[in-house]
Amino acid sequence: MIKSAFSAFARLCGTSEKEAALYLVLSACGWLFFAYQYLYQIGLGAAIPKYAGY
Amino acid sequence: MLEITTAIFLTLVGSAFYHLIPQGKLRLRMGWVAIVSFVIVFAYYPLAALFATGAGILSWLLALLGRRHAAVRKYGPFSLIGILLLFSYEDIRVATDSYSKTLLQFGMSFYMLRLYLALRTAAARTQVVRLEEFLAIALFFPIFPAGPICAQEAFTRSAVLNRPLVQNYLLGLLRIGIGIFALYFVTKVITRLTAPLIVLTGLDTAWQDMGWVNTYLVMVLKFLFLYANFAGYTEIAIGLGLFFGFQIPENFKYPFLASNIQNFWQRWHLSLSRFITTQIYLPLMLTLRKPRLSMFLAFAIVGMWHKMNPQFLVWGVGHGTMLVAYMTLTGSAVHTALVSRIHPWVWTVVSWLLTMTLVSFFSVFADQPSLAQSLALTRSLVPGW
Repeated sequence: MIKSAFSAFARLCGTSEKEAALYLVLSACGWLFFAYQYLYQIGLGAAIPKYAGY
Repeated sequence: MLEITTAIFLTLVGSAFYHLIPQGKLRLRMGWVAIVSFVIVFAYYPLAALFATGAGILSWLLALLGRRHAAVRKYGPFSLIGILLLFSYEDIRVATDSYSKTLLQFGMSFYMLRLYLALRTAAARTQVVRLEEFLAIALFFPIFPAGPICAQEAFTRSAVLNRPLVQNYLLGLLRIGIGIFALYFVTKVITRLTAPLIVLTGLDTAWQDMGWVNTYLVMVLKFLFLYANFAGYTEIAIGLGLFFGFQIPENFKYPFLASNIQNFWQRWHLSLSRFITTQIYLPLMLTLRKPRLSMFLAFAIVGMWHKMNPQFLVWGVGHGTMLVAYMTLTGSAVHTALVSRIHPWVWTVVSWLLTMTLVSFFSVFADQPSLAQSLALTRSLVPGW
């Protein structure tokens, strides 16, 4: 089930399954970083440990 | 980070209205894309939006004239070089500060290539290209500052593709996430890694005060920074394009896996690579009938297209020379003798290391604020010089 869903996702991306997995991981990291940074910039990040600069 | 938030928000709003326009009304859709793009580019760089629109209308008129007059069709696109020269000279004060000036110069350099392609295509087409279609591709804001350089036909073709909206939006978000990771996170990590190695005099790198090992490491890190920056930006551009349903061409294909200079150009800045091949190398080849000389000249021209200064001329000449050397040596007796004596893995590693070192060197050489700085980098790389 998961494998076939992932195969469908890879087809959607037009890449191999390995490349699609890489896309997914990098994109998740990107959006998490975006959310983290955004919370600080709009002043809602007081409860989150301060971003160390990288 | 807020800039990208604004860009995503504006694209979401712009694309929502775009999809509300019926698919059959292509002119209206294209007109909307042109208006949204103008407003967004104007918000970031007002002068760029005005110059770009002016140059776009001028090119469209040239394309119309080119349909009737062969001379305009043949020589018209070269008039764009004049506009490009105008933006390339350092002493022309078209922007208020050096940062936006640099962005404007680079934006206009890419813009002129897209206009050049659009003009050539429009002049050769049997159907009249409408102004809104011409301006939509030329001004499309995600690709405005640094490409990818896409041909008008491919852009229009993807605009009429009947793909599910959800698929496009999901893929767009995926690509934007990758872009944010590269553009904001990876570049920060690289900056952090570079900081303890680099010696600065004001804002400039004091290459002469760094040992050759540090110089080499900083040079490679700076090239990695350039890649993360450029590839991240391209991913975001592709993602934002997908919100509108446009298939913007890929620009990178794991360039750090390239083990020779030819392979590097099959992986690095693919849209520029295609442009060089089809618009510069092949016409030169047909005229001169000398592949090596044509390749060398094509890259020297592209170097000057990046920016009119000696550093970029060296970049172009350097890449041209590497490609000519590769074309000459591959398959030669020397090459065959070397390959037969060295273990394939050793050969691959040495070749990869040489390729990465040289492309990093020429990129960082070109990126220096002055020729003196570039020469200081070169001297610092040689121990005891």
